[in-house]
Amino acid sequence: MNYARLGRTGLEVSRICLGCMSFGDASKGRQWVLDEAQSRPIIRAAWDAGINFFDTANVYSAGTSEEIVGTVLKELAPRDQLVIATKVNGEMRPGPNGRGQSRKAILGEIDNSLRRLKTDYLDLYQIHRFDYETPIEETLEALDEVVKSGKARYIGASSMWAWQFMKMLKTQEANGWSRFVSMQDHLNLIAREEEREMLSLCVDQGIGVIPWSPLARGRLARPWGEVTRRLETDVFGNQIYDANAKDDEAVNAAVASVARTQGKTMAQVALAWVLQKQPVTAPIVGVTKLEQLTDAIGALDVVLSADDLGALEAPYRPRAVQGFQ
Amino acid sequence: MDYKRLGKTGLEVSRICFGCMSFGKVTEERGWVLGIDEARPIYRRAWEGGINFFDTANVYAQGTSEELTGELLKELAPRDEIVLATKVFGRMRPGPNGQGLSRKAILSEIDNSLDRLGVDYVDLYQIHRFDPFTPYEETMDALDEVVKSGKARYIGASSMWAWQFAKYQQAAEHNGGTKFISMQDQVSLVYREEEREMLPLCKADSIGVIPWSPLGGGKLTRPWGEQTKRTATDRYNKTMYDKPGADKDVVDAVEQVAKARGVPMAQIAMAWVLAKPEVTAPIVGVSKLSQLEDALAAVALTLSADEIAAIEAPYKPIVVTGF
Repeated sequence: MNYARLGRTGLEVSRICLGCMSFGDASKGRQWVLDEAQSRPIIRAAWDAGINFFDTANVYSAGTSEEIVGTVLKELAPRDQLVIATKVNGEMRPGPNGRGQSRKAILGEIDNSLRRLKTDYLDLYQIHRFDYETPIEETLEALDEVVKSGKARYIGASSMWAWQFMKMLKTQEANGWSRFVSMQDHLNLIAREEEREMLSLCVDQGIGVIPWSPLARGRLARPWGEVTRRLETDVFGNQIYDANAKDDEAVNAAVASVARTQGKTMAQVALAWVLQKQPVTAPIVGVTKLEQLTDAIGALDVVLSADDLGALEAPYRPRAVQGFQ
Repeated sequence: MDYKRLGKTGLEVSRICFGCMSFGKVTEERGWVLGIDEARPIYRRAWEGGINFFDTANVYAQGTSEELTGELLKELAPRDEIVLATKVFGRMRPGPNGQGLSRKAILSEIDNSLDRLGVDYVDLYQIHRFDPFTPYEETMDALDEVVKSGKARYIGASSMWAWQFAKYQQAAEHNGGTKFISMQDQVSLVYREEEREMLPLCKADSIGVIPWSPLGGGKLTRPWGEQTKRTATDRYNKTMYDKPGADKDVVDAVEQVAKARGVPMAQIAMAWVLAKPEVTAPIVGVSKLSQLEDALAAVALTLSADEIAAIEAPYKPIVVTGF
């Protein structure tokens, strides 16, 4: 496994982050997720392969992803060898203050996440999108307090508009508050809109980038048209990719062609593209089968030539941004 | 003519800004540029039509746009009735410090612009793109000095990435200096990429938006396929708009709405820009009086929700151009 520092911090993370949205109670909304017994061998294999970076969120299957991750990681490794990341923003209960990034929500949710993850602190606490209803100063001061109270080592952000992120970073600087060290955004060969603003901002500001859906929820990992259980039931995935299916079929074919030439799998080629992108630290890879994990780790050995990159990138067409508002 | 405050300032500007790039000394690069005798009746009609907002740049026709504009405006109106905008960034001479947003370049170029315009101050001094080689703070401090010394009433910016604009603003705020009040960027029915980041930023921070190329370099003013001298000779225009995309469908939709209304296409396309809530005043470049009349008429033209939907529907996201 290769490791990289996350942004401008000293924190070392594996260049593959295990995405833990695939673990949880399947009755809580995501029908394809694995329960604790099914998740255990995957999380173990990830750790055995050198992955030290695990990303979950309070909302993933209503907290049950955090519970499984907490239980299994405790069995696997001492706490200080793990880099555990989670997120706050989504609705955890109906009614007032049940979601968002108010001081009340953040200071309540950090404790709930720590309890479910069975740990005293998180390594990375991320805001899960932008909260239009809360002043950014309130959110950023509460996050600073989370860090100062020892409940998180670092803080990060996820998909939002670049100008919002820049405003938040500068507000943190101006007030001497803990600064975001990472951006978890949407980047893959059929979602390259972050090349426009966010990636150059992250280079400029020394922010580590940990992309979500690096394989477009499987759409770049297998020939076009093959149906999976997730493809059939993943409402969010279908919503963010379907509009450009025609253009994306050509990208998918380019991935297949480079994979054939290189003697690699499609997933490895698609993931290698994300890994070579500046300033990506570690793509977040969600896994429900062991061979997907092997695939992901194999991507670290793929070297894409300038010609390969040209072929993979050529069919892409600009598109509306998806995945946040 | 309607007037609107520029951003959150008290400054009143006409809802059409007169773009002065089309005037100056004719050069090979800009085959369509008009000299002072041709320009005079157009400037006069603009002023008489209620336009008080004039935009030029140091680089337009190598400074001669500023010279011509200064001379004609002097003939037309007292200085305090005019809102005069110019820009700094482009290369004005070869060699070091002949371009850019350094303290040295800004503090020289403001004086050069004032000389050419024949005025003591400009109302809006804009940075004409982002300068990757000068620290943000240096640029904002120099611009603050331009304002504090009385040489400009306000400062503005133009096309750049939204995060860069936010960073400039934060640099000024952090130092307690003057902040930008306006953004001059590209908005038209065939170029709507600013809807993604820049316009929401401007809305959130009450920045006035004064779009350039509101008619897509003329593309939206005539049925698809018709040529003009400018489309044939303007190389910059070619690189920006001659790309495959949904343009033809947008132009066709504008043509249909214009036909149904019985007005020129230019009025429909301009009315769409004017209707965007973030927009203060589109910058209109004209070489004929009829084009100016269309722009003036567009201010009074209100599009229905159905018409807006019809002309917006064909648009597909495209690669960012123009900076």
